[in-house]
Amino acid sequence: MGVRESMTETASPVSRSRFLIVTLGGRHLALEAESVCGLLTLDDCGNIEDPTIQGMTYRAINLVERLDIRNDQDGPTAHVVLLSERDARGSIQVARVEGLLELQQSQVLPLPMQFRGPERHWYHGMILFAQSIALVLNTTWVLREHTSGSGGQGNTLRYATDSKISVNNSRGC
Amino acid sequence: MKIMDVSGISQWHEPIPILSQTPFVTAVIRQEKTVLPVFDLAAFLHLTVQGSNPLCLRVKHVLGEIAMCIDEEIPVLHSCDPAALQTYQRQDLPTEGSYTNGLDEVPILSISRLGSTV
Repeated sequence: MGVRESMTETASPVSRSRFLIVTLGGRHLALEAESVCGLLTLDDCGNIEDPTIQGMTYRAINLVERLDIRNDQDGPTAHVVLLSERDARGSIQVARVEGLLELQQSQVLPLPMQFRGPERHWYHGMILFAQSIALVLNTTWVLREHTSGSGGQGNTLRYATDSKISVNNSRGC
Repeated sequence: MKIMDVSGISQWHEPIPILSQTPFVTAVIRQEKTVLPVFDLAAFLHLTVQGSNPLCLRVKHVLGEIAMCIDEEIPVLHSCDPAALQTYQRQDLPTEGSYTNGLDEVPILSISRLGSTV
């Protein structure tokens, strides 16, 4: 699957950020591309909840539960997104991968100040996308909460595959 | 609310839910390139929006413009002598006072004090 297709805008290279746009529960979510290590199809994963890639385990994070959204992540377009940031790793299953979006940082809108609760830590902002918005998830929150959570995320079966699709070839995850 | 607090009225469109722990602020609406937070006024007032084609009331707020879903009935502009304004006796709403309309006491919602709730 080519995640670099069609959605990349061209403009000056000043302060640009890349996001992987995914859909889950009918909501668009944006993941900071430098945190995305790869994409797996459900076939790639088999029935394994926590994929292991090149010896690295990406424990499953239940975003449906975390974000209290409708579970539609088991359809034919579902993918597993591998995330990492510093020493933390995790994987999230999404209903659909829309593609990569490159934007100027100024195009990332801040969460309105009226949101005053802990959600300010959950999101890094908003992106105008497809007549709607995509919420930019704070990868640190996604991974940190997972790490410090109950840990009861299902089985610990391991699965190794080289079939991941690299989104960022310039760094190791 | 006072007319100077109102920045516009338009058709209400389905909001985009955002998981939030801020009371009454759990969605946004997109209008062209603008994204506005939605304050759930109906829930705040323990009321239900009436009508199948509700309106979007945009109001100026100290933290930025906010949107509210209101009844489909077109709001009425009511002129009021400032001398006729009185203290709203009940404590259930942030108000800038009230005025009497017939037998009804009509509270004037304080948008700025709503900010302490938002």
